[in-house]
Amino acid sequence: MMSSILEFLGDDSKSTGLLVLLAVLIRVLTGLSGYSGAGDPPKYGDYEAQRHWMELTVNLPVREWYVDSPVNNASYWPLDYPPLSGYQSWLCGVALRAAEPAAVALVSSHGYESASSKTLMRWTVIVADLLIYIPACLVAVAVFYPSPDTSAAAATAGSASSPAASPTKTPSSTGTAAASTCASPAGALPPPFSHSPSFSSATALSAAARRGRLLALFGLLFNPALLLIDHGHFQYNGISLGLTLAAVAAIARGRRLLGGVLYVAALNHKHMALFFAPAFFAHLLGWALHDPAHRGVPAKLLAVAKLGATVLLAFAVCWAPWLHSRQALLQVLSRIFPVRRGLYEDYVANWWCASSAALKWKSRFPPHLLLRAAAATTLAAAAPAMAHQIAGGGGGGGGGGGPSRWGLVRCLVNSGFAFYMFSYQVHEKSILMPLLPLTLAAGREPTLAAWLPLLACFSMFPLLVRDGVGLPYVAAAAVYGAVMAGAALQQARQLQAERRAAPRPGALARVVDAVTGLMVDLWPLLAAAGVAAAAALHGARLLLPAPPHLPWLYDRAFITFSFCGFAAAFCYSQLAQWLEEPVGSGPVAVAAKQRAARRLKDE
Amino acid sequence: MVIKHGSFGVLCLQLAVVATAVKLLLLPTYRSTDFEVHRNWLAITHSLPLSKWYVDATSVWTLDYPPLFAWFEWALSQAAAAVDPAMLRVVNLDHDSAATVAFQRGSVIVTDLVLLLAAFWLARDVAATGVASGGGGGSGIFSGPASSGSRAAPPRSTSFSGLPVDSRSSAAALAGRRGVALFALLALNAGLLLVDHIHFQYNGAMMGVLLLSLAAARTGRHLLSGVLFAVLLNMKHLFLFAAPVYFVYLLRHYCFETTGGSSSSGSSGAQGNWAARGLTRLAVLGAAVIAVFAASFGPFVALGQIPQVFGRLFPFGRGLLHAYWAANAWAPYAAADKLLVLAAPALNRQLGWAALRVDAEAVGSANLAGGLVKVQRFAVLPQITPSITAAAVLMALVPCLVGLWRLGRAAGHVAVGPGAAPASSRQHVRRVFARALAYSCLCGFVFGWHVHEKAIIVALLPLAVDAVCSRLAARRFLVLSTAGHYGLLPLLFRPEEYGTKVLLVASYFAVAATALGALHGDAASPHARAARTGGKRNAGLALGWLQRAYLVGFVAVELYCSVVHERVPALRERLPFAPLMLTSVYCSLGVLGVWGDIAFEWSGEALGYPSRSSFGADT
Repeated sequence: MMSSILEFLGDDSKSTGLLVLLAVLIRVLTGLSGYSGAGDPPKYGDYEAQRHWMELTVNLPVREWYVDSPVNNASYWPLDYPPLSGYQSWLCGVALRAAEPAAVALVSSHGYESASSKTLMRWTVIVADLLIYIPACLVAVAVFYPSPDTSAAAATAGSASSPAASPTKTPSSTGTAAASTCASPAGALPPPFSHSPSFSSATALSAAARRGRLLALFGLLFNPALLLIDHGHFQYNGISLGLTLAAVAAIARGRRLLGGVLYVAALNHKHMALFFAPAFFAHLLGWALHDPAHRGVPAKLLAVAKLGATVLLAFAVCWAPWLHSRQALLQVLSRIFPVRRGLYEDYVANWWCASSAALKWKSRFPPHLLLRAAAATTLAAAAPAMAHQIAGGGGGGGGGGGPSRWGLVRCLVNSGFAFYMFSYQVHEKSILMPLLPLTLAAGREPTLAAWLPLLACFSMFPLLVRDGVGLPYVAAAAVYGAVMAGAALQQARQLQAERRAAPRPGALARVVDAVTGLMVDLWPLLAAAGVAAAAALHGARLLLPAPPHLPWLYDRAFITFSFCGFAAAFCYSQLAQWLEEPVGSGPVAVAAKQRAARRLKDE
Repeated sequence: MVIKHGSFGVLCLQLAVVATAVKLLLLPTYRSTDFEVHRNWLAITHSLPLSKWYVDATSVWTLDYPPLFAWFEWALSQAAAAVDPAMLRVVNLDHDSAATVAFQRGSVIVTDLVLLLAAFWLARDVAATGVASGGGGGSGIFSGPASSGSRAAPPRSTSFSGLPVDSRSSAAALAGRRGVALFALLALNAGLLLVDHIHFQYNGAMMGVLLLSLAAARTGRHLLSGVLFAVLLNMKHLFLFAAPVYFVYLLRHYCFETTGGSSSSGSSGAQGNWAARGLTRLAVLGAAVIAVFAASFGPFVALGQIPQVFGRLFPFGRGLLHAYWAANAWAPYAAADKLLVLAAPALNRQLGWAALRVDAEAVGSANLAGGLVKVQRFAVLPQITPSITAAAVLMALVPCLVGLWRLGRAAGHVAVGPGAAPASSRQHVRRVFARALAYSCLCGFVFGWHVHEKAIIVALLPLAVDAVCSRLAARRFLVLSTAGHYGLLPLLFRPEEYGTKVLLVASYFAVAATALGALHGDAASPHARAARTGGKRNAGLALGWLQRAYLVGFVAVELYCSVVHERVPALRERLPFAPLMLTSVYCSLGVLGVWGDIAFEWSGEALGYPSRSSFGADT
């Protein structure tokens, strides 16, 4: 039985191409709407900030980009992102200048808004997506959801030193394949909208594996939160996120040095990628400690040193123009990390903002204390996930050591959530960070990947509606929900059937399995209740004006509702990292999965 | 991957949500003067008495749609009053407050529900038909002897032995996918998105009524079908082109139906019953249709305004060609005229006598300098009058009408297709109706007087019904939709919408090509079976080289129009009309090709010679 129009697509290049084409279309359509600060002098919004950076970078020498001056005023959208953003602004600025010089003229272009420059600006974001984010999505999906023949190729290509690329996960994927053929006799039918693999079932993925791959691809390409922020509100998050995704894919394929460089690039485009730093650090450290190729302490140290040197070198390249003096470097750093901003901005669905209803953090405590508290809680929240990776969680299959690639993805989710929830100076858009690895994991956490991006949009609604992105908000969320929900539920049921066939050992695992099993069974009900509650809040906001003495009532309600969802997802995700990718019992876990597959086959 | 009954609805619902989301996203785009046209009609119908509806000329955009559409506007205006009463004042010309824009855009999206509903009904019927006729292939539009199949006809003896074991379930699955694909092709039609949701019109709702009428005919509810068509005709008289086909179909295959019933031929008693039943049905149908017309035009008859109303509805003073030429038969004609004007001096000099007489006055009136080639009179070629276009349309329709009439007679010995379970001949005729309807609308587009480029959509949507069932029709649909949609692009001329319009058309092409290719390349489709038994590779749509070249040619045309022409000053200055002329003429080639293809097929049908396609295995 088909549950989603997504299942009309196959795993061939034609279907993927179609999906990419539609992803570009929805980006263009989203861009038809308003943007942050449209027609709102004197400071406008993020759109003007990006345009202003283009103006600065094309008109000033590189060394003056971060230096205060009459034309580069610290009070008017100073360049406060790391150098790669500056370089990208310069590239976009050059393109904009070629088409419409007035749009980037020094000073005189402040607040420049024209229909043609808006279209051009929109296209720079789309081109950036086409060059970085979308290819990264395709590569990451190919690495994490390999078709049987490519995973075999990876196994032969991957040497002993790269256990993650060796077929550690093959047993589980055969498990899904076996399960799917049992669950639906039609699973063996050829994928409907692709005829190349029609008659060669050896190259065609099983229905469940294909669905998992499509869920991840669709989730990454159509994530409504990212669409609305980058192509509605106006930012270039896709670049940093795409580079992060590419880094994850590279590391999963055993190319750790390349992964390190790509992550440094992501970090140097937008320092919000720091949210992922604990995960990358812990994963690579875990690899250095546990990989069987690293026998003895010197080998482990050498591995760490090689990574460290590569990362430092990559940093040096990015920062080259400012390395000539300590003062220049500090000037850039002070621009990038303005501690003068508060604990959080506006209304964010994180711990500090949500709990500020009960305790006014900002007024009760001095900023430096809050900064420390934020750092400590963030680290504490990320610690379990880091420990899991450093201990080599999920690894051990196929004779290899080190943490598994899925462990890395789950650690990225947790580390992203830890920063979103507890770190200093978080804004609404930071929720994009945990969403990235989460949508990549859509084949394994289908229901989570279906509702969290929608909840993320909901949590950003006050911002979006201020930007005039209300209509795209409805449209992008509707498309995502409509296409994703059915297929995600189908996938979740399949995974649940597998789990029930082979219960995991341990009381905690049994409790979690029982709860998640119940949630999957009740999913239509829960989803309906969630949508109804969100719709009710929207309706109330639209129809009933907030009481005069509680003007923030609706914003508060929106973020409290979102916070509950995020907190639940974070807690589950913490547990799931340990349960899904067990530490130290790699071979045991693999054996259990094989047993499950066999049992399903026998049934 | 069998699509169960429940999940079919879910899949269509998902597509409907996606379609509506796209429409919402298009809300802030460019609006043509049609936005003001419809605002004015809202105002006229809301604030003026009936007697002034077709008289008022406060705005230049006078009411020129038939009365039922005016009533449609009146119904909308009741809701509009609650949103922004200012839009309902006739004197508030060009009123476009944010609320008005949201309301008018929203009204198009909401009334599009008629289209979605009709698409669902048709799609469900297509999905169910395949299951009902079992062993696959029976859902072909024209099923008949396989001998004349051009490329994929299997030897007759293997037609059943070649079936896969699970042919019944996979044929059912294929039928379900056909239904979903049809819903997607209808609900997400790029032409309607461009014309209704950017340019601004209400074609979706009216196409919905046409498709409802078609679905009613397919499911045997002929009286309903006839009434719905009468309603439609009274909303937009463009659909007049389809009236002859409706007339023949309802007369021959409803009133005086001979197919399907076993007792229809035989004793004279049965003959008498048949005649009596026919006359009763004709009377009832006629009365119903007349009632619709009476409700529509009656009040104006009473007011004595019929000449005034008809003067508004049929403004023949407008000229053969719209400002921008629609991609029909007159586009190459007009282009030839233009080229002959340019060539005439040299040619006459060469020949030594005035072989070509150039009408200097006509050259003066044809504005060659502007981007638009406005033609009032042809300078060299013979003039085309409204009666010539009417005659051309009728002549083009004759084979279809005759063929449709004869279908009933031929119906006794159809349905022995390759591997096809015999669909009842009654079912067969009802399915052919979609093709006849598409053809008649296409004839109107190709030869009609003052045709708008948008009218191609009217022919496209019925053809989609055919396209999901027949590979030949799928190829035609792909060519016609691409040519038709590309021909719409000049309507949206602002640079801001460039990416949107091109991507919408390209995406629709990609979705249609992938979906139709997969349907006709499916393991359960007749072609795939034929290819397997014949040891050939399964080729999906199997587009011919000419079709491929033509489709690729659009990339070249687009490159010329939007890149080369702009960059080369000599071209821009000397041939300012080239992009629009090239677009019209190139699109018309595809439209004429498809028209000729279907016309040839109907001619064979009319003459009693089943052509390669109509009775071939190429279903």
